Amino acid sequence: MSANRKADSPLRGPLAGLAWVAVTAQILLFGAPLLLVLWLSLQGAPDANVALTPTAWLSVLGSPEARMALLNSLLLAGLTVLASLLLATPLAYLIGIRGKFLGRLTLAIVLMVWFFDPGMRILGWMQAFKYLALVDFVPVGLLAGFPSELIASLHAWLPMAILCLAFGFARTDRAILTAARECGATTFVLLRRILWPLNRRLVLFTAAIVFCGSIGNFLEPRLLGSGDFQQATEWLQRALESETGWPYAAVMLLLMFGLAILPLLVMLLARHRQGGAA
Amino acid sequence: MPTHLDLRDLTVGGATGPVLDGFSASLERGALYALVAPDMRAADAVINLVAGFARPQHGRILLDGKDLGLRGPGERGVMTVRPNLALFPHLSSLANIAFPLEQRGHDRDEIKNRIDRLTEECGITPEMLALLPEALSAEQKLRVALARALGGEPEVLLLEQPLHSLPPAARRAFLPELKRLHRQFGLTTLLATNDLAEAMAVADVISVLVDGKEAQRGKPEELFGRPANAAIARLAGPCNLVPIEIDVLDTKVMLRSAMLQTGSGDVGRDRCHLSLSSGPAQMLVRPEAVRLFLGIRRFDMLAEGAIADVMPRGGGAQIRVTIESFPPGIIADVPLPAPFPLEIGRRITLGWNRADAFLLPAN
Repeated sequence: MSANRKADSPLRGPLAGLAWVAVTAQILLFGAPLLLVLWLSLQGAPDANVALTPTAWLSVLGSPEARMALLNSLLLAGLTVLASLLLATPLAYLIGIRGKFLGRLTLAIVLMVWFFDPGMRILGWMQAFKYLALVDFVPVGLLAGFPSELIASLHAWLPMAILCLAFGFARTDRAILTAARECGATTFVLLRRILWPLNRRLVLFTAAIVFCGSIGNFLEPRLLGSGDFQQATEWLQRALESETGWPYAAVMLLLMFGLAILPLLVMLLARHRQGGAA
Repeated sequence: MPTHLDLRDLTVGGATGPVLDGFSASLERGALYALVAPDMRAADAVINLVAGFARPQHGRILLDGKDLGLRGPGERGVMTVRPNLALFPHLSSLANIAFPLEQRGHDRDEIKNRIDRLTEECGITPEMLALLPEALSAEQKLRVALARALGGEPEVLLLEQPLHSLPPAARRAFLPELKRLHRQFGLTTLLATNDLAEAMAVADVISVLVDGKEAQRGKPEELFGRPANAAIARLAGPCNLVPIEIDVLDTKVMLRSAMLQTGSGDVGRDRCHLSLSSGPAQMLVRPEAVRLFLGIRRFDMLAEGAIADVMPRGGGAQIRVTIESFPPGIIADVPLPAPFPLEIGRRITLGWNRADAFLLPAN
């Protein structure tokens, strides 16, 4: 059991190298700045405005604006997870199970997306819409605001979700899939009753990765026309730019870090319990 | 009886040549037909073609006269038991067996009734039903896999090395069970295996596929007693292939061999392969037909040599006796206790009758 669990980890799978690159990138891009801010905050400084005090905690927790920003980020992350899993599953099926030309083409497209920052991709779309005079077109207009932030978040995290699931699907015993097909299972039944349950740890892992990443999304509102939907990162930006906002920013960062790491801790705890039971 | 499953001129290509080359077979309803292929590639190809997981380069598959070509897996009335059994590891035995029934839209009561029948017929206990496959023994898994396949209400059951996961002794013990289930459900069944002995124990008709082509087809006793060549003779189990010289005459075949003490003489044409011509040939004799010569019973052929190996087997022993002019020697099944100690190096004489021999072309 334990050996199987180890083998299930994407960090030990056939593309472990790529997974380790992704983890390292996460640490460098997310963990390192967080640690830097924390370190500076806990150091204290000659200027009392930089100290992380209980007053700062109470002030942030008591601020409706900060709470709303945090809730918005949570909502965005939750919806990104749900939408990522739903959209990634059929594409991962194409890559991992169907293979052949269509699967390889899908994989190439998924990997190609990573060449550009998601913000740049969204900017590109917006410029294209402007150029084509589609910005005022109703369906595009409906995408402004929160939907555009969700789309941007998906743009950022969907490729990761697709690859994570595709690796798991590719390692599923083909004989099991052919047996299910022979029993009369449709592709939907195959996904719902066979592939997802068989890869449930990987699905949870994917959800956790996407959640951790997307809760810290910084999606430039001016590009996306979402001025009324403030994310925690936007609140953070304003706090950091203000001369007296440093301790509040540190509190917000800690709260975000706690939320991001929560699903990982729950997963680790669950695995530890399963291991004990086994 | 009308043909139920008709395989016509099936051809499948491969990187180094055809995997299956123009294979045809007609299966009567309820027949158990075995495909025996030493490397399994050709037999696997036939199974995958019939199951709908591969398409032939050439040829057609007809079920009750209707072409299956455009029907996908799950729409063909075909269920397969794979070598690894392919049970859904996250579902209990009960859920595994119920899976095909659920996909076919049966209501809950119907599913329960069918599961009750399947579990009873397949020897699955109520305790087993709640267990995940990993908690079952190899034989229990096989029973669940068979029940699941039968639960799919197939017209044709495909068995691809179904006993592969069992230890050798359990395989032999399960063969009558396989035969009983076939009799009970009366399904047209295609068994693919690399074990001719296994196929001979259960099948009505056997096709031996070598290098993608059909090397011989026949009833089990025909393949055992009158194999088309030495390779097929070996597939059926241990055998002696004694080099001989023959002269083919009109009604009989004269044979002579330097290694036989006595026995040179004639055999009837019915004990010879059809393609035999005068010159070098081989005499097939099964170990169970070879006896110790003690000077009491008469044998048509005798050969003298020294015991080289003694291998206990069941209630007897299989011995190998090397002969000066034929170093590979002759193997014989000897009941124990033997009339004298079976010591390595001891010189003995073995005997067999012409009726137990079959003449094959030389390699």
